[in-house]
Amino acid sequence: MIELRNIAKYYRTGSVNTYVLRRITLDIREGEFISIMGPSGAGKSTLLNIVGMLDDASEGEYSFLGEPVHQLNEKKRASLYKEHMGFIFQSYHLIDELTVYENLETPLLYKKIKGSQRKSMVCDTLDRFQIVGKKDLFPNQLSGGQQQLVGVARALIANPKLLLADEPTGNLHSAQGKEIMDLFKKLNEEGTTIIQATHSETNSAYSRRIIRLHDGWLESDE
Amino acid sequence: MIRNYLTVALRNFLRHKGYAAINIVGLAFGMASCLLVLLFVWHELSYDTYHPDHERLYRISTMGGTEADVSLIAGCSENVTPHLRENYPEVEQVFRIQPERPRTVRFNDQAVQVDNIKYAENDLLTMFHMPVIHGSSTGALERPHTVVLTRPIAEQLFGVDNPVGQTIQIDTAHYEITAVVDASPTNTHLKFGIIVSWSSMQESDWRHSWDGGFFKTYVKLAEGTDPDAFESQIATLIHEQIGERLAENNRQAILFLQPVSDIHLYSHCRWEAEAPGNINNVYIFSVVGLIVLLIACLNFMNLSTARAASRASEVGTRKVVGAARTQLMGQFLGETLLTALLALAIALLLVDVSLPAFNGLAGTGYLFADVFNPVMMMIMGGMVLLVGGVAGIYPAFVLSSHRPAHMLRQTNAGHFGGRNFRRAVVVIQFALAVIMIVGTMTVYKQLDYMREQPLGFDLKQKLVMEMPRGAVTFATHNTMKYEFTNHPAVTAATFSTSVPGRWNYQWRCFPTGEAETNMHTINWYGVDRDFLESYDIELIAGETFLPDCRGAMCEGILLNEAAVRTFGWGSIDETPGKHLWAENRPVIGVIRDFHLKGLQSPVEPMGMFIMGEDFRYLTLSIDVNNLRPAMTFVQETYDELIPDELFNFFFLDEDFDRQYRAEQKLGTIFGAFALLGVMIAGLGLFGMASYSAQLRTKEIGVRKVLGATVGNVVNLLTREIIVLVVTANALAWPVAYLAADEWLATFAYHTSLGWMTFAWAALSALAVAVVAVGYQSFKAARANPVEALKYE
Repeated sequence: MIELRNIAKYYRTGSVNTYVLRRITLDIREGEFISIMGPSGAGKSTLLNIVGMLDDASEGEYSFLGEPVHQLNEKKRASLYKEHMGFIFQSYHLIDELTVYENLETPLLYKKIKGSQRKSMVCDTLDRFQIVGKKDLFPNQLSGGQQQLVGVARALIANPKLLLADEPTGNLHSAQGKEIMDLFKKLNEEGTTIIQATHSETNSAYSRRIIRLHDGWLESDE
Repeated sequence: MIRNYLTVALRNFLRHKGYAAINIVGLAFGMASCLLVLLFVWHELSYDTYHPDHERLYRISTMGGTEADVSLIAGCSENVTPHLRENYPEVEQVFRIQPERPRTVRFNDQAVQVDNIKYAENDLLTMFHMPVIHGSSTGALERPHTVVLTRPIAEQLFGVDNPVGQTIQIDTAHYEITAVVDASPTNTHLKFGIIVSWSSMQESDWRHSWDGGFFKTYVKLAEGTDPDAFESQIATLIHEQIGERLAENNRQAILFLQPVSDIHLYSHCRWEAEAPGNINNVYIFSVVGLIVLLIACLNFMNLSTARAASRASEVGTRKVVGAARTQLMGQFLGETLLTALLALAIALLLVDVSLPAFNGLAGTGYLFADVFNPVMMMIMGGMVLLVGGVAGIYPAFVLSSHRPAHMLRQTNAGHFGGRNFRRAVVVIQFALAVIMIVGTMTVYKQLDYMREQPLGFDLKQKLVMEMPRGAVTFATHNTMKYEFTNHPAVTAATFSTSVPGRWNYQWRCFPTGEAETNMHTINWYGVDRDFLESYDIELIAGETFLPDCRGAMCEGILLNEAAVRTFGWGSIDETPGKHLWAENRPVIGVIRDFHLKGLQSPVEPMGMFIMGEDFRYLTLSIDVNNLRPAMTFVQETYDELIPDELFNFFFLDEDFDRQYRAEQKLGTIFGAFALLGVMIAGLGLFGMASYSAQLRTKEIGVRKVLGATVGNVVNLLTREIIVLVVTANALAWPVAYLAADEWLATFAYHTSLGWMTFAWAALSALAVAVVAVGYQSFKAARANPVEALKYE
């Protein structure tokens, strides 16, 4: 599903290139549940962003479902992304001005899904995550766990093949974190490919493959 | 999708009410002033363009005088019209008009004073756009003693009744009303109150002469006529008739055409029907209006951009959930366009509210509905598109082009906003504001200067009555003066053909025995013997009029210093004893120059003679401490002596001040716009300050933890603004100086540009800026540092 070949990412500071990622080569098949681990600054988020097409690699090749992502233009990449991926963030990134219902609806709007179908999809999702009672609340009226639940719901509403999660439980209590991880596990069993970046050994225990990064190098893949 | 955008836009408005209000209201004020200026410009440019086939309408004017002293005169000999009618097939229609003095018009026991009475021929009614309300325009002005009323006069005398067929009395003569036409619009140089048929005009020697007799004459050329060819055909018409006489005196009288729609702005002939407009003012006001709009637009752009930058996270999130770049651009552009549209709505409201004041100031008669003509609508649409588009394009492009990973990481959105761009905006705004403040202050300084300059005569405590024609004769004028001074509060009375600030005779003369090329146009006042003393005009050489002269003894004339200079006589003391053509009158004395007109123009050469007729103005010197009894006495005396006419008077100082009406108007408009500009700029700065204080919360927190006092922090936040405003001043001063200097140079007598003007402009701009920023800075500086640092 995902093939990374010699992916590198650096930032230019003055005349020196500061590397965040170095020569990462990685294959990920459909249905996997992967944790990317490593200390702060190891390049976890960067790798996740590149895989999620939120950022470009400086060097190397990346193909997703057989499409050479590094050669695609913005429009093609956006449609590929829109079709197949969902993203979850440590700090949720919900749109503050929109209610829970409207936040869930937004990705569907961008996918140009018709009104009635959109409505039923949002209602199904609200049901599935048991947040029907919160649908008219704004993000700042929810607890962190509840906000992340909405974030997960939003990421999953269009049934993506691949779920990317960047420290999904980083801002949550352990109980709330466990709920999210149990949810991930269930989703993976239903067929969704999941890649999460995490610090937590507890969280990584849910996954079946652990990739460790250190100073931008791929240290181990088990 | 649209609903989603609208929801976000609306909730953003509500969440940042203050910001949204500043943004929208500022823009609305800018748009409103721009719309008002547009209305003014539109009005000025629309003069006499509403007549049918207006591009074929021309006035025939005369270029007369000698080669050394050419003057353009708004009219031509009365004989031109019949000549054109008979001999020129390309003249489709032609008419003459001649203004009459203000008269009392009566119907039964009703009487009104009508200022705008003109004699005219029937073609006027069909050549010019004059909607007929009652009667018919066909032949309405053919017979003698017929009149056409305009609606306001008809309503004053007859209410809503149809007055056609009734008879009114003007002075002592009776006239039959043949039609009522609509009131003259404000955008015509020819305005009418009552139109009297041409054949009713009194016959006299000076009519029907090819030489002189300047009657305003209008022609409509047949379709397809080349106006240039026609003009060259008629140019020498007068010379063909009286060429010899003109050549004898070395004079010329060349006819030329003026397009009717150009007269208001471009014609500066002698004896125009009304004071012409000024194309320069049209330019100045356009620029000023645009400046205010520009300041408001910059604000809008600046604040929109700043706000958009703080929405980086929303943009990132939208990208993450699948927004394409074009969709995001659409969202931001849509939002700014919507805001601009809202501002336009408020601007229209402001226009509606300020329209009466505007009409008074600009001399227009706009209704609110007039704002919605197609051209204005297009301009408004363009304004919204431009303002909304430009303000939206920056965030639309910049924000949507970043990779989402950057956007989401962005904790300090300020980096997106382009600090230098914002600094530049503040500098430009304040520079424009400073230019306008300097402009306003210069106009007022010049007005004060002109009003305070000694005029060379005594303007104060003078009540002037304009006497009806024929009411006073040489035989009765002394008795009348005696009657009016028979009260302790009336200290003097004097008759004259003119008073300063009003129309006066202008004749050409040359010194007897000198070359005819030394012929010049001289302003003449016919006066009685008390005039010099009453007006306190100084005699500096020779002697004044003899107290009791008869016949030839009264022929002596007085000239002013300017006239002595004009004739090139050099010495003032040697002037008495010279003689002036045409009647070979002896110059008996020289008077000190005094201002006949406002200080815009230099003192012109003028002369005085003892009057024998045309007792037009009676000036009474009044003791203002006893104004009320004096006024009662004057009115009673008037009613007793001239019972048939309405009592009409003015105070000389007030009347003379009308010379400065154009400058006063300019000052008021400039002042209003300058105030608006400064306010909008200040408002924008206030918005920006609150925004940047918010951005720098963390920095301020850290500084306070490290021991910064409130004073240090306020200083930190305001220092930059002060630097920007000072820069703005440095940029604005040279521009303002040049513009103000150029404007002042158009006045014959003008004030100087002191550094105080610039200092005040700088200080007021600085004060506005410091107040706008200070409050926010102080608030930010006073905040608890722990609060600030908790943010991360």
